[in-house]
Amino acid sequence: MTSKVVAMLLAGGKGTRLGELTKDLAKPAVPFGGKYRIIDFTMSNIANSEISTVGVVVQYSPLMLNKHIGIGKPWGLDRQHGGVSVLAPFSDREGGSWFSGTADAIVKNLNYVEQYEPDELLVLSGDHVYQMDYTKMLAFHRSQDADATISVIEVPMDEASRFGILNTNEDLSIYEFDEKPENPKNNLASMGIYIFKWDVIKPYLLEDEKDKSSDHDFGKDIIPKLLADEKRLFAYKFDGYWKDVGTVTSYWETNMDLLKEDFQTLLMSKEWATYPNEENRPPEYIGATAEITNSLISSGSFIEGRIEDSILFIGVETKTGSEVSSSIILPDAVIGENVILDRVIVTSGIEIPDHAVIRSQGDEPVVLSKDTLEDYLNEGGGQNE
Amino acid sequence: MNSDVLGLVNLQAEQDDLEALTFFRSGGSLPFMGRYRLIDFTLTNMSYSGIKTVGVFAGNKFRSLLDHLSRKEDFGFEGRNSRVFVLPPDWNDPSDISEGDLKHFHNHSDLFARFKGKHVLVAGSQFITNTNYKKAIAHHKAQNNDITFISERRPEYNIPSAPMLKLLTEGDEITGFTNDRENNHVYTDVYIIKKDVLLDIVRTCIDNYKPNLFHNGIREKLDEFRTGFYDIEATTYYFHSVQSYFKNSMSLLEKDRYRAFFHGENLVKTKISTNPPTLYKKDSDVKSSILANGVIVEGSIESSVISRNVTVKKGATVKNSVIFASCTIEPGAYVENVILDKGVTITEGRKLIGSEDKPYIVAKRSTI
Repeated sequence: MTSKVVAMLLAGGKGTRLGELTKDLAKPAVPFGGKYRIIDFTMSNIANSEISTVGVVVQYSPLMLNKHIGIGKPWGLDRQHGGVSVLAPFSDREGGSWFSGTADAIVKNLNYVEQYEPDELLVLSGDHVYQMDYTKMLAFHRSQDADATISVIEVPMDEASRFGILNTNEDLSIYEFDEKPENPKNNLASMGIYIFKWDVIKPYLLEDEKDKSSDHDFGKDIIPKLLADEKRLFAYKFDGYWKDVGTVTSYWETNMDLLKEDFQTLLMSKEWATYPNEENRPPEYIGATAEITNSLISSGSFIEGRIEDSILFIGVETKTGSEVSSSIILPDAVIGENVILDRVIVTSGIEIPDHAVIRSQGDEPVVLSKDTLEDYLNEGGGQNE
Repeated sequence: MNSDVLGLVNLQAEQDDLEALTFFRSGGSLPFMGRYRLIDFTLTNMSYSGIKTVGVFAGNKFRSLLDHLSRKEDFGFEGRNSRVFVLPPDWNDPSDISEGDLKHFHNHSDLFARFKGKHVLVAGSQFITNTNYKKAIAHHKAQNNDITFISERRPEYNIPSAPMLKLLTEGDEITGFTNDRENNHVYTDVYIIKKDVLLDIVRTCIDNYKPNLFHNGIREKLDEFRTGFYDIEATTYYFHSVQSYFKNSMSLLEKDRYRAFFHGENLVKTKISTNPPTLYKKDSDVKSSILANGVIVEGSIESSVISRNVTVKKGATVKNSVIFASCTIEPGAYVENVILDKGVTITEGRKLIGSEDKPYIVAKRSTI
């Protein structure tokens, strides 16, 4: 694809429902899958689709995210033309303000997009886990001569009311957008991935910006207006794994999916590799007492004890007699001796003291952070259970 | 800062006695401990010493080396003012009469001419440690030595054999080198030399048709220089045979030793490549081993070094072995005391057993 596409990757979200995990961290920067961050899936899709111009829009706690993206080297985006630009809220001679919606994030960076005079604008989200070839969607968009193409995925009918549903004609042209419908007519859920003809969408974005009552959201505000004006909108069916990592439970589930045979290409594929911003750490050391089954373990780790159905990030140490099951241990955490963890997420750098027993009781996995560890240790009987 | 010291990795001067392991690669690019190559340790130590410019004399078999060293930043040589020059044979001077490794010194003399500093730290790749030479360099400068040899005192039960030389000293001076097995004052093959002195030696050697800078220019003429030594205190390993390579690998599989060597003061740097985390499947059984990323294990692994992208399938066993990158051990296969070079496939049910003293080596990309 040589034609001019500019991708805008929206990575400013707070991810409130991820609780402790996004306390001081933008959701796309949350560690994922052993050595990745959530945004790496989208960044890798961009790299593998050979899209060369990307604006990464940041806002909430962007420190780690900015460093992670850098000049885009892991994804081959350190380029002389285009490449990656991290776009943070700014002020200019007309003042400044925060980004207040998906469409607003684009309008406020209009100058960034305009300088490339693109044919198409590709809008992406930084908090989805999936592997997608955007060039195929782009080819579909062009073959339909669409003004806008929205990527959709089929969801189970009984879950459709949780999503933005697109109602389509037989040729996949869209006639209606239903945001979280009570009685869905369809099960094609929007993935929040859009391709627009730039000259078509630009006036709508500028118009919407002036509308004080608008939420400046693509799904809620822009798409309905395009439909009202009878623009050519098409749904592009995506067939594959796609998860929006929205809650602690879905974060845990999506990580656990990586251990399932069916989904192992998410990390292991050679044809569509997922690229992390790799750290230089020695190979992991698996000790004499280790028993590991169905787990991912990363470099820099020292492992003893029993590890089952778990994902361990770089630099993790687990000591003898410990049992870690169905858990996620983020970078540089230390699990002491004879610790039992079941369905627990241990955040970066946390040290779990010897003999601690922490099991998740409810539906949601327990998240152990600097602030919550003490509570769980006391509540769970801690040392004496 | 030691930006007035030029780092020189002289692979050309090294003996090639690692048998099949170095048939198609230089000793410097020999893989070690899952993700490293021997030259990584030399370069990492130079970078932690504050050295900014490094030249690598690559004599032959340098294809893997060129790829490995393609990004100097991965090895800690960051910033505009730091450079790593890999210098293969490039002989164009019609008046050139130099021989042996002097050919490199002569034909790559620009490396020295352009370097503004006064000292050169020369090292090989068959001795590794994880340290920095800051104190040694300071000692060299303070003593105003022409040449300072980096050495160590080894415990008597653990003195490396030839070709590693030992120092004969009188006070602070070096009086000679020896192969004496009883002498525990081991010379590490690393020395710091004044650049002007080095260039004088190069000229004298070439004018007299001498082929070996160290032996002809330094060792035989020790009394012409102001010499000294500096003993380092660090864990060290020497690689002068397949046996020592294998023994060093096994020795580092001891947990505390591995931690001290690789997680000590400095993180050893190497080419950064991307692989997924290691996947331990349901039936895997792994003990006392190190595994690099991209490995998929379904079988059993004990006391072994497993490099990137190796697959150990169901019912397969790997014991006391060193497995290089991208090997596949098929179901039910059994290997013990072996070194599998890159890309080897051990087919279903095959059994391969070497001895501890003489590990069985399987050549690159073969299927057995």
